[in-house]
Amino acid sequence: MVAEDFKDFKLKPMKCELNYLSKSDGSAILAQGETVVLASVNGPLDIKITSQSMEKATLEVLFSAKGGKPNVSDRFKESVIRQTCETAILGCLYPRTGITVTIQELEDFGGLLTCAVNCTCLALLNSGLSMKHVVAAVGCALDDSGNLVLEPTYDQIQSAAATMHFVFDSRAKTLVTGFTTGIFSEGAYDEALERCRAASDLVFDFYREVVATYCKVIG
Amino acid sequence: MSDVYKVIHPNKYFNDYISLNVRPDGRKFDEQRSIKLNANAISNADASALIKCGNTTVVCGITLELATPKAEEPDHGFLVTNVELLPLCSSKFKPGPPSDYAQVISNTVNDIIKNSKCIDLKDLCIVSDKLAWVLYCDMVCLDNDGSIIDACITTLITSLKSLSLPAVSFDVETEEVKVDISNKTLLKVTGLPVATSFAIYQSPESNIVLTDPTTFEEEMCGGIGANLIVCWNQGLLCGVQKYGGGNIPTESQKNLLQVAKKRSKLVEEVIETCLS
Amino acid sequence: MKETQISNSEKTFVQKIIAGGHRLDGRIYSETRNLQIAFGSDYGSCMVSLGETKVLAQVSCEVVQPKQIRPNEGIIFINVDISPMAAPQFEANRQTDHTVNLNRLLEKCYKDSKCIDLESLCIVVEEKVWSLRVDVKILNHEGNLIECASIATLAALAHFKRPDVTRVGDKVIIHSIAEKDPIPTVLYHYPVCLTYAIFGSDILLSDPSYIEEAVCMCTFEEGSAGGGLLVVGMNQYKEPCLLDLTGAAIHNVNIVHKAILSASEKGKSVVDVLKKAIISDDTLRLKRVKINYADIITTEHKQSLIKKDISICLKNYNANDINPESDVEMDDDVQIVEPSKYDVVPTLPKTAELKVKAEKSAWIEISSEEDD
Repeated sequence: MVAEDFKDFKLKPMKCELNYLSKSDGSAILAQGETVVLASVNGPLDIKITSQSMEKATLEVLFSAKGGKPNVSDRFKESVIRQTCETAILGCLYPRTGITVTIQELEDFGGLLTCAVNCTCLALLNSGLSMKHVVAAVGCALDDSGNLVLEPTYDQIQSAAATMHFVFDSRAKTLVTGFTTGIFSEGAYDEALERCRAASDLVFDFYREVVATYCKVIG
Repeated sequence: MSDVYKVIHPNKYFNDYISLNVRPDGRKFDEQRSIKLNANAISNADASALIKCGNTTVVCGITLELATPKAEEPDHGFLVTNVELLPLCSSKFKPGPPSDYAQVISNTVNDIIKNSKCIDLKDLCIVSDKLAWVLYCDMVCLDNDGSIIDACITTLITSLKSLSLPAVSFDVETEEVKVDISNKTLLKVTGLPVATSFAIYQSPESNIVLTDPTTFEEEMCGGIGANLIVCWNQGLLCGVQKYGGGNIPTESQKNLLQVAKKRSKLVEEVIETCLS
Repeated sequence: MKETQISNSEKTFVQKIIAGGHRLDGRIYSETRNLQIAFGSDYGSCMVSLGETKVLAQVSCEVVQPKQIRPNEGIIFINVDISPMAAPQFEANRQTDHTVNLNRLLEKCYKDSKCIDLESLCIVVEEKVWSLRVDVKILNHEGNLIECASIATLAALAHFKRPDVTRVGDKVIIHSIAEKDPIPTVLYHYPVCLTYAIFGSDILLSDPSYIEEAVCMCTFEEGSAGGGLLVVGMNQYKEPCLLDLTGAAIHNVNIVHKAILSASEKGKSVVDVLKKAIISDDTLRLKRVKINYADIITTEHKQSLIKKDISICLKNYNANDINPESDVEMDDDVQIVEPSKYDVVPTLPKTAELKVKAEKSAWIEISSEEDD
């Protein structure tokens, strides 16, 4: 699979503002197309002795949907984001402390979880916590005729045979997190993985752009 | 002596084994544990199965119930899966409401079964908008020694395969329900989804993939939630999940899927033999 | 994390400048911070910011069985959630006194004031009614949560539209928004909560900031009167519908009267802003303009270090007041260290001005010589 074949694709337009919340140590609001997520990072904080860890910082992730009662799928999203961020944060630098990540859904038009992962990463960058690498999430859908659609819209997800979401790290572009729904062949999985891997470059470029614009203001 | 070593310096203990290309229990990296499967282990349940994957033991029981379908989906029955991790199976679990980990495991098992489309929920409907079957599938872990999702999926699918639904007659006028236990038909199950877990160990040199990890191996590889789970069904993938933990080396990616495919063939054979 | 205690020096400083007629952010006593209302793509979803305090409110509805004592009335439910996002001292999934208090004040203001026509939410008596659920999420806590949350709740309720229903015999059909135009909620009047911080016996601050709230609730030195927070609920007809005091007893009777008078003006202006925002949002929606929270993302202020974002701007120390030219103007008796770069020009008798030479600077001259 040659990555150059996919050079012409585009992701949904991304828009981001850092330091959106004044009380949090780091915060970001990110729009990917019409999906919008707000994330805040607080830490390292003083936490209860029972939840302290000798070796590394305890990461707590809270996901809050727009309305309605909290449910099991929120817990699932929290677990995905916590596991993903744990690999990225250098928690061993902050033993016996806690890091709290709070994510608020604002709009969901498909790709909520990928947007949440990217937004959390931007908020972590903004908070100044030490990180091993940054992560980028990209999603794609497989339609009934076997075509791959990068960053599907809400309607495309509803009609898709399968959806696949991948999170890559910035250093070696290896897979950090991946999850799928629906049935698909091995070939389709490999193609989706390679495409998303190539597309993750665009997300990393966007991170760089955001950080650069904010750095200029200080410098 | 080695037990003491394991307790006082688990990381070093584990790394010493891995650097010699062997796992603490003597397996090779891509070797799986032996499986024992028994169908209809519980006579009270409508269908049941018991599995032992190495030390991991899970029992699954299915009970049947009749209910009215939801208004939004009048021609669908219900398949309710639940995984229970009791304090009995590991010292990590405390009595009380299900922990976050148990909720995530339940959610994963439910997702895999739903994604594999092995059960058509329309088959569970008897009369549209009036009567449908509810399958309560309860999986209880008796001993947790890693790769619990693999064991759960296998017991669940074995139980579903052996489940037969009694004939039901429904009188539309009087809304009277008659269940004929003597006349039973087997539930239609398409394919046999089989999940395979991998743990990824980040050794200083490279990342090493361990097939069918034990609890100790899972702990060494970034915690219980960080496994890679690959699920095959009839030559198609129906779920590839991995949440954090060690990164998968690009070169071993293809190989992983093949290992999972081979294992799924073997497990399928085990299920077929067990039920025949 | 425990809440950071306010230090004595901060406390006395804030008290002193307020006694002197100033506020930390340069406002006058009766001035409120900038109010902004943004709507999301769904009906009944809005984000309100009052200065840096930000609150998100979302109304959702479902059909439920009514309560037995009120078989022909709909149900309204308000739920306030203060997550660690608002400020690090809040813990997740824990009801604190603060949350309960906020929740109760909002319930008083919107449920008990009977501003919502609950009977119009009834579908079938004793069987089916609409239940509205307002989820209020605090995003950023920079003081005066109650005012911000109440505006958000009101805006969300006024903006919300529920799906239309038709009854065919025993069955009730709920139409999706695409099938039939949704119905707005009927509000008899628009109450809002306005907060006043009481300092001493006669100072009234409207829209107190985080530090002002903290200072006025602190115990004062012996001898001086205590302070407190006074919440006044007021609708657009200048009718009070809620009064709530936290803190020390009020010695001065006139202060409550003063607060109510001020609130009646403020309440009306807030409701006007809110109504205007809803009307402009409605006309945009009619033109099929897609409204989304993505619109609130700006790149205008990129750092909290720029002047606009510095919350402390006392009048006497305002950065704008310092004239940059005053650095250049100097008295004649100032010693000039490097006379080569500057010209001293006598402009008026007994006055001299120091000016940079009009020619090219020496630095460039040297480099141009090197080029030659």
